[in-house]
Amino acid sequence: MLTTNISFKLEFSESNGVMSVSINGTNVTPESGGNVVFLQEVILPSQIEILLTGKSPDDTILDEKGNILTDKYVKLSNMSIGNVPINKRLLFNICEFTPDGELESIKDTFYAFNGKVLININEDDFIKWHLKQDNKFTL
Amino acid sequence: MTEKVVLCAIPYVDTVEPIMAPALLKSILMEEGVNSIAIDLNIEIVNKLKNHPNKKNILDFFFSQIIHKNCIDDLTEIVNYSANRIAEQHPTTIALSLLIYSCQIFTRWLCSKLRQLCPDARIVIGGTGIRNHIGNVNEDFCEQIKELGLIDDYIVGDGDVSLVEYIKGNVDYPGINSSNWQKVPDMNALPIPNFDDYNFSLYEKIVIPINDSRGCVKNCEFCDVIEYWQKFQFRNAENIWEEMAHQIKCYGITQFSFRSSLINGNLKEFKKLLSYMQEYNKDKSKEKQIGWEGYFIIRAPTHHKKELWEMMRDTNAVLLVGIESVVYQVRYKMGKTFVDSDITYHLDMGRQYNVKLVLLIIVAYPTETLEDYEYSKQWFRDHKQYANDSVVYVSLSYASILPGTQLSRRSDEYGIKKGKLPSIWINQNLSITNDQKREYLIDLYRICTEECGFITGSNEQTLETLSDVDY
Repeated sequence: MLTTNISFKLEFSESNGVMSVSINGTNVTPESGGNVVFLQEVILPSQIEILLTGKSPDDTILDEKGNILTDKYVKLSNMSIGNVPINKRLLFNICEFTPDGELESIKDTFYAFNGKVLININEDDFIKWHLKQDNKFTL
Repeated sequence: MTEKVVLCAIPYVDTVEPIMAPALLKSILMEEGVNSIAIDLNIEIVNKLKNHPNKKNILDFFFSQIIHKNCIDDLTEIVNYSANRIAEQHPTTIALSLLIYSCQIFTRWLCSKLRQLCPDARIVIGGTGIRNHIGNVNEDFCEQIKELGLIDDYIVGDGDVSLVEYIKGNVDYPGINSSNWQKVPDMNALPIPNFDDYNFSLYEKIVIPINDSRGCVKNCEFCDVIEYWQKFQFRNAENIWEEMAHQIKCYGITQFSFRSSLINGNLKEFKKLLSYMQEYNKDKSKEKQIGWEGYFIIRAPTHHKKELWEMMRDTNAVLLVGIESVVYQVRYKMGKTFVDSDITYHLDMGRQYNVKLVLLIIVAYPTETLEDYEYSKQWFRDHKQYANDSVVYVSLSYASILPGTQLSRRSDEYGIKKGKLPSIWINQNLSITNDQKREYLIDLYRICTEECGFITGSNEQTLETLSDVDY
């Protein structure tokens, strides 16, 4: 069975340490500088599951006016499937984030709460998936 | 592991003739003892789309990466077919040849699939199509797809030597991942292209392509060739004839297509080559004779005397003549210095000696005025007696301003405002709208075909311009 190469670029913001992230059960640890590119081989169709843990209310530091000074969060800044980059708008739309304790999911690539992100790739051919999403290479 | 190189011509190039690069590179690698297979993927895709009901929408993808919903399955099939065609050869190296810039779009998609099917093969791209809209090297494109991991390396300029060096592992050779490339010092030293892997029955037009020269002797402002090959390089007649004789012997094909900017750049060698062909044809029936086509520049009659026309007649020549504009002042300014009577002379001689002419016209050249449009329409009416009587075809191409050309550099001087694509521009000094240009194109097409009886055509992209206005 053919596997498809999927790449994720995650940006970690540190505040009392960083959030813990696992993608399809594999822990992802940031490199120095707070970013990591994580590669995974998957068989399509597939549902990618990203678990985010380790965030507590104490990790959001506010000033006296309530503005956030530092925070612990993770941002999914880039993703590619089969070496085809997913454009920002599409990436936002395919990431279904359900914060812990919530029933409804939201579309987002910025995660400042513990929770779970599901990305559904519902085609067995990544070329067809990209074309159906109208996802194009930047020319 | 034994090296096996797949050399592949990337679609979509609007031609029904063989693309030469894979065959030439195969012969070069053979000389070095490297096993390779040459695939003209372009003709396979051209044939797939020939009568396809979704052809126009599919071509939107090839030329502009527009994804129409009704052709997603077709596009997926084309990408997969192409990748499998290469992967089934189990290559260690995949060398993709891009002839024109629009091949860049399909290359990205193909490479992404190839990475999945052949994860251990290295992928290298090259060819004139890696340049930015044919102007200069589009390092953004090359670097972009390298960074995305879609290719390992790219080769700029003549790949005849650099591909061999690349296969040998010499990635520091000029032109490999760098725009500083070296010309092949002597074109006569190149081996004869090997078409053993080509299936000639796939081609609507069965010809053997030959590269007789690189660069040009002229200096036309719209042309990118002179920007790329700044000095004219040519092969001598004996060397070309040796190749022609070899290909006739190998494949039994006597029709040749010269793939240079001009066949008559060096008149002495050209006449000598014609004399070899003339001698070959002398005692043969028409079906067994050599025929050829090639780009041909108009010169003053003293350079192209009747003896030359006799030789061209005897060798069944088809001359692709770049007139570009029938308006003398416009033509002179663009760098084509022949006068109107020179055109008439060539039309008459073509008629007298039964030498077929294909007229290449740039429609709505950026310096042409509305009066020039009217003059051009009338010119075709005034010359309709040549329709199918020397002039066998009129090719209308919509004017583009290619980056890196003299025309592009002169844009400010001409008052031209350029758009994102070479075909999108407006001359602010003349105030001719895009609608007026399109109307002119449609009108000229109609006059040539309906009023004058010229067989007239255009390339796929120009035809799209026509169809956009519901012609």
